[in-house]
Amino acid sequence: MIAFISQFSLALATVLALFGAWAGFRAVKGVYTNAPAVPLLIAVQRNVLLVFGLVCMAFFGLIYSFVVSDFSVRNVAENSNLALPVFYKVAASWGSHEGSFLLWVLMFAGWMQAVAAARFEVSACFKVRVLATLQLVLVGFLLYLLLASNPFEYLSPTPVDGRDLNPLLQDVIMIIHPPMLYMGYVGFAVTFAFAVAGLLEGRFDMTWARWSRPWTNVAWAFLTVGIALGSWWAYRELGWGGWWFWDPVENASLMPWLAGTALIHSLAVSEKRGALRSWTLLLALTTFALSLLGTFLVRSGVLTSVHAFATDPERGVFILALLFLVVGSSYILYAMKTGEVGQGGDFKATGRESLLLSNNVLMSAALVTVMLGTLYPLVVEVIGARKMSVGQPYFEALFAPILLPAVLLMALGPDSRWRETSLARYIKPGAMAVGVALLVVLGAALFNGHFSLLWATGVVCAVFMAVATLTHAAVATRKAGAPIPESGLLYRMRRLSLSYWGMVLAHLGVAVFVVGVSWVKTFETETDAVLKPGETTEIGPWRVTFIGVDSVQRQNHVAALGVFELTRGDGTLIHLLEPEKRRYQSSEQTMTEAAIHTDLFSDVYISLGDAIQSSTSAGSWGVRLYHKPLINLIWWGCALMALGGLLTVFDRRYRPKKTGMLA
Amino acid sequence: MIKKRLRLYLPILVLLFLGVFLLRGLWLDPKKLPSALIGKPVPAVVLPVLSVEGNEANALQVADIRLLQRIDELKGQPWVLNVFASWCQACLIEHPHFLELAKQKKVRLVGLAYKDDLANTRRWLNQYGNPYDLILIDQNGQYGIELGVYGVPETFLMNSNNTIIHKQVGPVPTDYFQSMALPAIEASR
Repeated sequence: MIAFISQFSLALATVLALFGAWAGFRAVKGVYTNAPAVPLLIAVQRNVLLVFGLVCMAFFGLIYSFVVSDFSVRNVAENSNLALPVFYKVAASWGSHEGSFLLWVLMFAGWMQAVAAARFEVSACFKVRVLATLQLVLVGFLLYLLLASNPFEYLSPTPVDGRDLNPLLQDVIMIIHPPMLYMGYVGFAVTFAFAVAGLLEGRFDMTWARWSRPWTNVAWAFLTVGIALGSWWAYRELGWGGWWFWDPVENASLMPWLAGTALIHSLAVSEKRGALRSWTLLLALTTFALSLLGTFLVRSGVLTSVHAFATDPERGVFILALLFLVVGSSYILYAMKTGEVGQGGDFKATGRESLLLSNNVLMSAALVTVMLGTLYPLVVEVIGARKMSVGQPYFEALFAPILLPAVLLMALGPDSRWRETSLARYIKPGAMAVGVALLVVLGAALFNGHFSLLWATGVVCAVFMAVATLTHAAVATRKAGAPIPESGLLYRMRRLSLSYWGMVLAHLGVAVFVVGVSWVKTFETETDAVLKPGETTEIGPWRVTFIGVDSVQRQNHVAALGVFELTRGDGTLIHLLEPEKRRYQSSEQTMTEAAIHTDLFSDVYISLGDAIQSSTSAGSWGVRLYHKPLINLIWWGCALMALGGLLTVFDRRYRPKKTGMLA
Repeated sequence: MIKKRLRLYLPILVLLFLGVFLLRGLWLDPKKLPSALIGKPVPAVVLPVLSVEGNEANALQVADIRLLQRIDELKGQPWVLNVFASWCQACLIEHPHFLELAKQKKVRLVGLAYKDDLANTRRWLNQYGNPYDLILIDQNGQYGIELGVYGVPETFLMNSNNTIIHKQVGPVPTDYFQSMALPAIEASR
């Protein structure tokens, strides 16, 4: 019954969204000013709220079906069972292909509702066009849900019990990873709709760019968190010790991220200087296109990947057709209308515009690199040549040379001025920062007693950028308080805009990330050992002593609990690590629970293998150990980036003014 | 001016170009992938053994860590590792071929019970027959990852030095031994 109501509300939402899009576009036809569109806007806003409410109902209907284990719904029967804890039953709602698409649609409707409800200073007719565009795109995905991938499909006869949620998905991080990622993917739809509405009106003034920015930044921040969570999960749970595998699905999420990063920076140029508008528009369209491509790549099974979901050409064709309709029509619109867009103010090679443009060039290069590596095997296969795959070496060889110059240029960013900057402005703070960076690397190399070119380059670039950014922030803070000499630090910091602090945080995040990656890539070590109780092995700076294995009976599993003693130096520092090998009684699954000791951003990672029972080595256990210096900087770097992105939204200029133009 | 306008149509052309490949790609079988492991030694680990007969089979509901097999110790003769599972429909297609091969005793057959419920594996073997000389257990798919397994069934052929010399994704054909295994074994000598 609930499933039926949910499906019905989805259908109703489709009809309403279609109507809203059609009526919206029709009503504002020929209207390019604010006043006549105000009543239309109110009507469209109500429609959007209705659509959002209906999609919410459908989504909660699905969650309800999972919680009460309604096995007459095929989706529930295939992805949940009676024994599953309620927490995971809820999460199983988006564990399947159909459910995750419903989540996608829910997020989309949520963003749309946020746009409808947000107060920002654009004309009412523009807002109607944005909302109509969003509703039109939403119709496509609602149709996909209803026609090709119905999450509420009826199953008869109703089974007594369901199958199980994939045990790999029974993990807390895995539950929040998809929603975060989708928030990012779908968030770019808002920027996309802004671009389409701008094209329709033939207007991209600075207001357009200014109000596109917060939406883009939030979407980008969510995408950053989503990607980082996926990577963190893979590191902790898969037990392979790696954090990024250049898997097609990972690449699929990286592509919109790179395009989004470029978009954030070119939007800055468009807002402040009115330049690069045509390029910014193209990026806005392309970022969402890549989000759709990502969805397509993951969900159609066109590429082989560890994430491989059901491969079903029919569904693939549907998503591909949607991608074509949405992206294709927007590109045609772009080609027809963008001639009307002026190019904006000119600038010199030393100006801030040039720096931001080079960010765009480098991000685009990185994007093309990832895209080639991801799609090349497919192209080769379609042409009829052999099967092949592009692996880690390709990406790593190309990525560092593209990203490190970007990091270097970021160091110059804050010191630059619009239009033209005298070189002296770069040289003085730059020279100091380079000096500090070289000292840090020299010190670290002496401390580690180890040196490699890639590591040194990475760390120098990152430290240089961090120091330059922090120096600029310090100077700017001091200057901000100059009119009131007795002002406190907090007051001075608050005088600078939150956009500025967001930029500082995000850039520092990149520096932290680059340091983490350089360190792990250079200094990580891994050993496999067979240990008897009492034996000791070494990993990195640590000595690991195997104490023994205990058998522990817990609520739903028996665990072989290995106990390891971790010492360093003269043995004063002692930690106990207890990796487990669990046997779940209900499902008879064996799971490895690695034990990780984090010490100042570095990890010691022990995973318990099997007991070895041959006569010569009775009582020994296989153990795999990793030492990952500074690996946690990778996630902290991503967290800083996302935080920076979020911070910009709370900037003073985005707060609703009392005399705002409209609701 | 005309030239400039044409340039603006570049994005849609790129999209169309990519689209052709994406569309064609949908009908390709991503499973037809050669193993990157061919010519490399089979990953050496220790795996639990499934007891199929006797008291133990009835008593033990979980993988018995006291019965272990080192992959290393399988060296010395060519052997076949068949990744199977009771939940796998396609496994039933190739199963008769393995039963036949087991009767002929031309090569050692080792099964890998992949991500499976052990009671179900035993029931399945009772029902359809057990062609395997030895059955190893990979319940969490860890060994499958090392082997690069991404679908069941898959069949690996090792020579006497434990080097992987052939891999079949999906059910093996009727004449697997004659047309695939034997030439590979000959070639690796």
